[in-house]
Amino acid sequence: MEELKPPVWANRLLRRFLRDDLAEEVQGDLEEKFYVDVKLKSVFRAKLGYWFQVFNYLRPFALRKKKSAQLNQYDMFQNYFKIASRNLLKQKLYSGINIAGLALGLTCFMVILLYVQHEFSYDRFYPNTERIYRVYQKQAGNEFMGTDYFAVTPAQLARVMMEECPEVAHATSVQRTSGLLSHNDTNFWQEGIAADAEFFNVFRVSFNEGNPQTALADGRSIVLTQTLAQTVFGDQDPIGKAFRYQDVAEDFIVTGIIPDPPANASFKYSFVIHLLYSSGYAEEIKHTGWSNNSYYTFFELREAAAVPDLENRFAALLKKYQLPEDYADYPFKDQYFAQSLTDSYFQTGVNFDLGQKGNLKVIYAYAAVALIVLLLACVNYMNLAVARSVKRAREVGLRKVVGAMRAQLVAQFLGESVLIALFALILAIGLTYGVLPYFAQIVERPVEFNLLANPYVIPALLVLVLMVGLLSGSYPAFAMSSLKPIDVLKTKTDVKISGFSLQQFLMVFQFVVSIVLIFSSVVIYRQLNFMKNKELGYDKENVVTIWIKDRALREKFEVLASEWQQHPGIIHTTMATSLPADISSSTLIKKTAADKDQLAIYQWSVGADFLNVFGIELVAGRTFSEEIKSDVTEENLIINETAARALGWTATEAIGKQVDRDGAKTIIGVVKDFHMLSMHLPIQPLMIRYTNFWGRFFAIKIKPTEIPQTLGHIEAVLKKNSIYPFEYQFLSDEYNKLYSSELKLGEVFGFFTITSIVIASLGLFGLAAFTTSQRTKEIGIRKVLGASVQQVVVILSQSFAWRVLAAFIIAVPLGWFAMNSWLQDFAYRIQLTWWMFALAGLTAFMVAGISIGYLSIRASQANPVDSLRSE
Amino acid sequence: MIETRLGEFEEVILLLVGILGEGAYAYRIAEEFKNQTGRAISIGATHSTLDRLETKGFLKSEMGSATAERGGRRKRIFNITALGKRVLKESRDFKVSLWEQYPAFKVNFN
Repeated sequence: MEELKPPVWANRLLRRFLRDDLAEEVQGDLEEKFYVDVKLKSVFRAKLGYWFQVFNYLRPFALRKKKSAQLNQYDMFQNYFKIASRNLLKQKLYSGINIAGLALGLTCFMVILLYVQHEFSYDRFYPNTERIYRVYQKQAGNEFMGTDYFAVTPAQLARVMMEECPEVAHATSVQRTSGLLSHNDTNFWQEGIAADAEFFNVFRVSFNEGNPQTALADGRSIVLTQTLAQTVFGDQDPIGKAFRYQDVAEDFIVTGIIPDPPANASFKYSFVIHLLYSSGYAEEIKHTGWSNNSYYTFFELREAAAVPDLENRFAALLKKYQLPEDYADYPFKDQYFAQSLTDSYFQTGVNFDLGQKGNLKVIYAYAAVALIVLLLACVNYMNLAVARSVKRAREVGLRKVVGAMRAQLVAQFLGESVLIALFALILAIGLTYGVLPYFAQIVERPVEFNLLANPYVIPALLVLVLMVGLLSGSYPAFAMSSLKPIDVLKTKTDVKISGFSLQQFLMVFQFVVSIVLIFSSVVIYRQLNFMKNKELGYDKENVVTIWIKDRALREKFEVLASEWQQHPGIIHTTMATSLPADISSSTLIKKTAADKDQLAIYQWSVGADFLNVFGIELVAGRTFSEEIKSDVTEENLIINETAARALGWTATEAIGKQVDRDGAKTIIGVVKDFHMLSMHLPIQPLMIRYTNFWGRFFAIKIKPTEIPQTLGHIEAVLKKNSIYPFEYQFLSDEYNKLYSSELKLGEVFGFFTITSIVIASLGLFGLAAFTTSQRTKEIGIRKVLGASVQQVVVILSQSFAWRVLAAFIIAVPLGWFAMNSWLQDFAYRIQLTWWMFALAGLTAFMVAGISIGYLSIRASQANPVDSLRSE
Repeated sequence: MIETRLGEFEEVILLLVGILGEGAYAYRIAEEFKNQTGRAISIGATHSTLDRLETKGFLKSEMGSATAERGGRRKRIFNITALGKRVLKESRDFKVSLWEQYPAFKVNFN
């Protein structure tokens, strides 16, 4: 029979936790009880009882004490803090450099982090955001403004999708609209959205007042945002009030009030009006066939429906609805795609797109640079800590002798660096508060720094500090804790710490980054300058442009022009469909009606005096004249040189030739090529038509003196003829808008470049200060032996100079590669030349030279007596 | 500072140690407690109290002799110290004095 014994596992457990000195008596007692129980009760009950008794010994008095728990950790921590704070205070220069550098790096990082977070928050506030999609299309070959993607779709698409695509829950047609809203003789110029009845089923906005289901049910309804309702009606209830909009002869009734679109809405509006306000839309949807592309289509995907399934249906829809009578000689093949709302925010390069766009390339570039700057600051810390570690070698030796374990030393040093990072973070938070408003202005985004807005912000910052502290403290901690006490304590002289090569490497790395950043800034600046100063082919200075909001004014142009001309400050006036900086309309022409080859050509309609207003040069033929009947009846064209070449003629040959565009048109003039698009795109073929009616802008050439008076006159004339508010832009500002993203990039890069140079030179200064102080005796001896100040300076600066040179050699190909690929985006660009590299290298060299030079001159001028006396 | 107050449970255990004399070890005391009060108590709880009483100086202990039923393991035998006895006596006197001040019971004590 098996020997009866207490449960083995219970016994093991007991021995695991029980104090050794109690083992004998306790096991004795428990065993005695066990055998009594076996006799009186059952074996099972006895065993169960044994387990019970074992668990009842889990009491503090009986537990085995951990070894370390007996040490006094608290005193040790106190000592760590004391030593750390003494070190910080004793070496104020190094501590200052460390904390300042880290604070700068952290500031950059936080600013960019907030910016990136803002960018990725766009349009995520709808309850059904992840199911909102839009349709856009590719018209293969129909290249326009550098791309053949278009954000616009036919008016009927939304309805057809709801009826024929099971994947679609709701779909809506949307257009941007702006105009004068009138209520009781008060007028408000507002920008809004025109949409069909499904709009609020796709974009589920919570209504302050009114019912989203029925708000746009009626073709004469309008929904206002809170702010607009407040401005117009104050405390009155706006529901049911009547508005007039644009020149529609019927009232629109307010059916709902919605909150203002939040700051991270990609398209903003102050009202939503039913699309039926537009007679064009009302006419369009009567047809079955698709013959227009003017509307944005958004839809809500059904839950569990797949986007590819839907996209597969588009080809069939196109075949069904692009009727042969409309599309017989249409040369392109359309292809439709669905894209989620959040993705479409980052989709650049789609023509006529709706709302603000984020550029992922730019976001990633910023994030990468911010990370690199933070890394630079960490590298600074590492470098200085390794350098300083020489001073602390004895501390490490002594700690080890009195029994410090390696893990404790590592923990001590890591703890110190985390503490410094924490200081830096507090400084950085202050700096971020200061810098963020300026940064937000540069990137034109309402980025906000609110520590309490998001419950993750504070923990995330603490994790960041921990990571920065651990990263920058890791190498010094491990290098120092590996010192052998006997080496450190035995000799009187300072020990060399291994890792000098790492230090050199890190310094070179810092300078590589700095040189690349300086170089990038130089290139960006030069390219911006190049675009600003390039011969444009037209004169953008002193041209006032007025976007015609009041359409009635177009018919009054001649009256306006003659009244304007009475002012001595006004030289020429004209009307145009777009401004020469941004001609964004194109069409197709043929040489003759029977010709198969079509030429894609940009089109621009202008008033008679356009050559004088815009300063465009005529190469051959003549310009339009109001006296010539065939000009006024739009039978004649002017083209640019590129168009003449594309048609196979020289400028003079082209005069009198005919092309076919809705009937034969005669070419009467050729203008010199001018930059009609941004510098990203090459100059394209252009045809210029005459108009005295279809303009969207007035353009007025004024004298550069007494501009305010001239503007006053322009305004007075307009005010007399229209109730619309007066707004104007200078053509040169409109031109600069084309490059706003590049200007932003330039400013942000400038900011980063300066920060990185400051950080790198701080680090260099600290390191140089340290090495020169290490070499005080050497310098003293050299001077005693007859070295001149210059010789000593050369000796001290040499090694740093070599490192900057090495960094320069590495930085050249990196910088060339990065900036060359950036420049590829411009059709007209500067050449990268050697002097740009030289400038960047020289700047880095100068910055390094100033900080090292100062220290080495000071060191070499010191009296050798002071440094040598002590021995 | 050593805690010198005597809890009620502690007082009972201390008395049991006195009653059991030479046979006072944790298991025996736990059994005796059950016999006397009808309430079961684990050896661990008893031991913990004994340990506490020893720290307070009311008990002292030494390892006894080995016996076969315990697999040759020795017992820890607890003894009341002079301090322990005095504390027990004080506790009793205090309660008796309280009883005597209680008029309803005064007659019975006479």
